[in-house]
Amino acid sequence: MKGLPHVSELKLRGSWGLSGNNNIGDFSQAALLGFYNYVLGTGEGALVKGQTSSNIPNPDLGWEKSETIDAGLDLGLFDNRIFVSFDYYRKLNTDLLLNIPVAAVTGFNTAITNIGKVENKGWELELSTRNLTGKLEWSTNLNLSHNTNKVLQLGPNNTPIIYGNFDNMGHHITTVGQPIGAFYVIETIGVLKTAAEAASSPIIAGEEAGDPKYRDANNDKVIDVKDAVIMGQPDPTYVWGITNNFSYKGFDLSFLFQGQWGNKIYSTFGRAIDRMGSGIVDNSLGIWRDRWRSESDPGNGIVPKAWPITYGRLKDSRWLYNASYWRLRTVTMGYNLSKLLKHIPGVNGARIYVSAENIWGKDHYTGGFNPEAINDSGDDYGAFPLAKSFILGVNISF
Amino acid sequence: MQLTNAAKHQLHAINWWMLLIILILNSCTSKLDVKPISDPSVENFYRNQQDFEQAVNAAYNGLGTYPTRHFFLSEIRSDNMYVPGDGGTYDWNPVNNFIVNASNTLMSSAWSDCYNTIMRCNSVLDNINEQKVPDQAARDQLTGEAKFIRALMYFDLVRFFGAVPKITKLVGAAEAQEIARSPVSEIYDVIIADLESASQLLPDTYSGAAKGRATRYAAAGLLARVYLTRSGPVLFDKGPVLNSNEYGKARDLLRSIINSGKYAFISDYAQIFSYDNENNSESLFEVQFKSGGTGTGTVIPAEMLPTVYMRAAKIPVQGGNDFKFVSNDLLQSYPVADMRLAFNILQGYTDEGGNFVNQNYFKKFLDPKRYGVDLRDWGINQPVLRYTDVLMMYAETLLHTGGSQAEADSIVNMVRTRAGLPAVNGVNADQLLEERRREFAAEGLRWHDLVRTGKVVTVMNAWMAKEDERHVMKPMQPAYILYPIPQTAINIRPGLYEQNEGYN
Repeated sequence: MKGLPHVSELKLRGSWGLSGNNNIGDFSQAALLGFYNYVLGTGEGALVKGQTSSNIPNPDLGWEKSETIDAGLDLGLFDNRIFVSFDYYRKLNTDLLLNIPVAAVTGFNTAITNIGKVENKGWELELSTRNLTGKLEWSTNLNLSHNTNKVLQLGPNNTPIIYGNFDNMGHHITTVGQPIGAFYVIETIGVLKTAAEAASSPIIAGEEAGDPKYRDANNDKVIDVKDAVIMGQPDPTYVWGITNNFSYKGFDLSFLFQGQWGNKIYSTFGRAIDRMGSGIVDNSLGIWRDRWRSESDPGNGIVPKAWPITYGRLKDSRWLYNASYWRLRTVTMGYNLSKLLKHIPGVNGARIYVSAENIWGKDHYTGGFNPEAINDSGDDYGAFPLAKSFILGVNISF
Repeated sequence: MQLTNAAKHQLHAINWWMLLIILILNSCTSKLDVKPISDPSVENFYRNQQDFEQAVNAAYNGLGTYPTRHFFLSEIRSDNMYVPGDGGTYDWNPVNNFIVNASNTLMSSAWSDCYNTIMRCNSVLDNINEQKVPDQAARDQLTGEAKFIRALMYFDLVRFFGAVPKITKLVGAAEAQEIARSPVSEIYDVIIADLESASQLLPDTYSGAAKGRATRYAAAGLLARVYLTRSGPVLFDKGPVLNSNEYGKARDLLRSIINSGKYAFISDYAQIFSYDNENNSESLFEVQFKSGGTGTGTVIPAEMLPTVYMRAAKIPVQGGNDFKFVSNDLLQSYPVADMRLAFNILQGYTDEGGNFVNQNYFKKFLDPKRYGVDLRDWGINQPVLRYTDVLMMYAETLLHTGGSQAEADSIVNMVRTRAGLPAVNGVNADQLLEERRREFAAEGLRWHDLVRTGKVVTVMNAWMAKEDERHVMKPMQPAYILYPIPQTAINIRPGLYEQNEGYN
């Protein structure tokens, strides 16, 4: 480029697109039949076939629409030794295919419907640099992206969709102005340290000294399901990755770090193994050593008493974990054997390498093994940990 | 210019392709209007008698949750059981403790299970006609069965929730959002009309493969129970009791059942509940269950007994359920000689470690050798209405209508003799209620009996004072005759259903 000698490439991009998602499921618009068998007849009885509607029909069902606007900039500097690509996007999904709650008097609790509007916007940055180009080569690739997700509109009454319903409450909410599937739990703010504190604080019926202290979000002096508050979202707001590649003579070395932040994870598994009262004869986690035992031995002020528990099983923030992490995803070291083997007829190239995956990292997640693991409708219910692996390999091409 | 034959063929081929493209372009409209061929759909169902038989079977299938519903919402709610929660709180503990809230999943499942079954009945009633089912006897029976099941569901709804939306035909999601709760009296109108009609349409009896379907006497007996419920003294004006004094109507229905000669009093109490004696001469209507991994079993025996007991008794199917204790008060209500005590209630057991555990559980429906593939797969049918109940309700109507005391006494004494108890004279309503408690323990009737006789507030509070040593129960007040409308139902369209009194 004349006049800008350091700039080797400069490109502005812009795009607009409208696409449809027809991933509706076969015949979701029709009233399908399901089998609901019964038993009739003398003696033990015999199975008789029964059939009836298994869903609520929706003849107006159509595509989900997605409109994307993207503006981008590509910039190469110093013979593309530094290359930057930046994109800003806004994606608007309308007529979402959602299973929304319907009045159960229809016979069904949900119906698949084209409803609502969700906005995703954010940016993506990619930076590639060739730091060293001599005998020792070193290049770096970095990507960083940011996304925010917000529900703009739901059904005709904007009725929130609450899901994860068990133990007397749902703990996920999709509601206008918030990210999809936000966590919706009662906030734990400590332990009721004394009988006096228990008597003067808003409590769940049945609570006493040593039990968890909760935030009375609606200020009605009792703690119940109505005190659930939105406490974070399941999708990360920032995701990043960085790869470094080195090569020197026949050797090469690369490592990839990645990470995310801005999201949380609810561990129904953590809650099952760590909630006292799931069985007084069961084993407990070590954190219960610091529990409240008495007014004079109140523990660390975070862990409540172990037993008895008479205040129910409402879902609170104790099992909501920060899902941020960073991790060395892969590290690979290799050596090019081509020179050594070039005399063997028919061999064109060869490389020997060792690589390791998921061997090092850090997260804040004590409710399970992997902060990215979601295996039970938005929650972690005992998903397997990421496998660590070590690979020794030889590639020979003929 | 002459076209060669090959060129003509090519042109033809091009025309066909264009035609095909035009057809494809035209066949896509904005809506999905393809009828499923591979999947069974409602579009090509409800055509003939066989379809309607299957649709009615599916409505019966909806009764699978009936026994557990009444175990949780009637038996545990009542003074028959003390289940305050121990080492954790399950959905039924607040039901026992009178601190239940609208988000309790037992509320939403009662509500949606009943309405789902009503939808199945409405599907039959909306579609059946003379063209599709020309055989009148078959059409009458199918119609009667759907009405019987629908009435049974509305009777549950009106007893648990009071005024509820009245849905007597299939409704879509938009329409349903406009339907408010109908007054209790209008729900009863549906129940009574359905049961009167069913008792005309249904056959007297069934044999062979049809055994277990609803009969006209099942409909008449259920209608008598409805009239008895309406007739009691009103403690709460939003509840199911109306002080309607319809004891005479109930009496006549019950008498017609007794006079039909179709039913007999079984002299051995245990034989009524035997796995080998289902649909016996005591049975007017029972929910049919069968084990064997076909999804048609019941969880009831495993729901009533804890895992630790099942393990100690070497029963290989176990769950993780709570300890659901029989109350001391019920235990003590049985005189020593009463044989029903040992049959109905397990009084302690020896655990795996050889220690005696002094806890009491219902074992009425347990046969330790007849377990299925898992804890939800027990094959024992569950009574909804049995002949002893018909007789005892009849005795009750005699007391209320100035009928024969001797006849009432003789009925109660039949029941007492079977239980090994001495005869009594001059039975009154309170004694009758207590006899019913011992007789029908674990059958899900106790709470309803207390409500319809107007005793529920005094009996429950007197019992709590004795037995709730941990003081976890809230005093019974008349509003607690009903349960809260489930929060999921209220959330659909705020303001459409008002929450029941006492639960705001």
